[in-house]
Amino acid sequence: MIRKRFFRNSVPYMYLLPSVVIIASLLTYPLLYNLYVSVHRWQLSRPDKPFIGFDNFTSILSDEVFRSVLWTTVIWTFIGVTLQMLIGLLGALYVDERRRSKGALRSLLLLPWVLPGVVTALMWSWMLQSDMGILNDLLKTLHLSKENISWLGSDQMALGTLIFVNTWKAFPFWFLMLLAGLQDIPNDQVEAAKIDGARWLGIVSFIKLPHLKPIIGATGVITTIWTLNYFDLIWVTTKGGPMDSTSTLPIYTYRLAFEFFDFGKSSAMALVSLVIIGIVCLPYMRSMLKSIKE
Amino acid sequence: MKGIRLGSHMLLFIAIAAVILFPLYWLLVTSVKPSAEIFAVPPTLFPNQISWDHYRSVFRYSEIPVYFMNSVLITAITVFIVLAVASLAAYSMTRYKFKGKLTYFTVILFAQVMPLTTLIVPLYILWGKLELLNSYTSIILTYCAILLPMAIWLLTGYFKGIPKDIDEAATIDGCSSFGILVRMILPLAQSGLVAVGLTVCITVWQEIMIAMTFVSSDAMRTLPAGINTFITKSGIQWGPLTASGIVTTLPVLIIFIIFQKALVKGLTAGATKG
Repeated sequence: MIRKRFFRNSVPYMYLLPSVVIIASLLTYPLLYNLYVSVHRWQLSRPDKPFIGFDNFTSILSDEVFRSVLWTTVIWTFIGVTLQMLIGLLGALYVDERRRSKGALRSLLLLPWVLPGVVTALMWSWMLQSDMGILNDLLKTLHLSKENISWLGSDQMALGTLIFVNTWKAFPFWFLMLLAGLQDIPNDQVEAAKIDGARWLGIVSFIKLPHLKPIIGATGVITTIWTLNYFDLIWVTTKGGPMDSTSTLPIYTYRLAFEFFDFGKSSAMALVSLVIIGIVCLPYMRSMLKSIKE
Repeated sequence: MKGIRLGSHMLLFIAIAAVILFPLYWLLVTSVKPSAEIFAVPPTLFPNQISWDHYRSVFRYSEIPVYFMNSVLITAITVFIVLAVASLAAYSMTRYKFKGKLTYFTVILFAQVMPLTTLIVPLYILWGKLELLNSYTSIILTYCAILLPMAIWLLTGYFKGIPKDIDEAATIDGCSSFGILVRMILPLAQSGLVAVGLTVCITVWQEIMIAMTFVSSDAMRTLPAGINTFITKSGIQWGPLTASGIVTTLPVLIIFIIFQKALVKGLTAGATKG
């Protein structure tokens, strides 16, 4: 009898076992190991790995490079997400009001999002080549610029260019989420407002936007994390250059480990990123956890 | 008046289509131009002559076919493992009461926002100690670990939506607990499985950070990591490179066209439930 009950009680854990094994060994343990590495001087050029306490952290946080990386990350993330949201919102508002072309437009606008990041990077760096890229040719033909612009090669242009390319790639997610939200709005509300003589802008700001608020919040947190962590595009096009002008947190952390082979510092840097991300998404996590408890 | 409005909509449609499609078109066109025409001044918008030379050289004289097969295998196995393991976990989460459920869910939630950079160094050291760098095992298991939390999270949502009466009916008919999962729940959660599978598939297919760090041999390299090494080399050959870009894009594009509805439904499930 007792054995049978024990068996029955263990059933839910049996189902969880495979996932627990994978998560514990390949996510939890490495995270703790990261902590361990971060408090040691762990460089591939040296055979010894002495314990140095928080030296890696203090040396990172007092480094000027860190400040510039942090600033670049903030610009990359904040301007990037804002642009994605605005373009996604305009797209969703436009497509939502179409009748016949709705399906076609939705497929079209979703396309950049499913493209592999490496291909996006390769495609745009080909178009943005300074001497034989099509964009410079186009600008010159239209007499909008006289000289070849070095889109990715100059430290003044590169970050802006990459933010633009990433907006091109990432806005579809916003578009899709907001469109789904818009389609949820009861039609009679909009019709009634129209009969009362409300203008387009009035309908958008007093009916549609308030309705989209929760979706904007959730999508904002998700895309902020994604954009902050996004690695592929910057890595393939500039590797953080020129002159570190496009070096964001993940790029710099990766380079510390696999270009400068300083595992200790890289681990410390990764933990700093983790804390920053934790702060960004704390309110979101809390509301998610609250919803589960019910 | 109506004509003008229709006309302006047409114009806007064309403008949107151009911004989205032109980069892809330019990639495709470059890949089918003969080498000399790629660098023609001014560039030709339509190729004067279509040549498959770059594709031929990519498939015959480069490692791309090997990378392609590696990518297909790694993606397929990862999708399978993630769906299987996540289904078991989601079944337990939605059908049983047990101690530690909230802890488990908190871990799953936290794991989804963990940046990859916190894992890459320790995993590199660990797989190195196990002498499993440059193997399918390390790449596939790492991908599974990264994607499992998201998959469990989403599938739990889908399984919750399946009424529990079905379980009871099946139990009365003599179905075992595992039988209910396989025969009743999985078929009913098909759209959820497709959406999660697609997300895993698209993510793994384009992943480069892990692929380029754990793999240094040509025999094990994946397609996106291979393209990355081509770009990094000095003196980029745009012909073969754009052709490999098309080869990498095509499978994703085909899958996107076939499963678009399921993907959209899966992604927006959270947004519309209100």
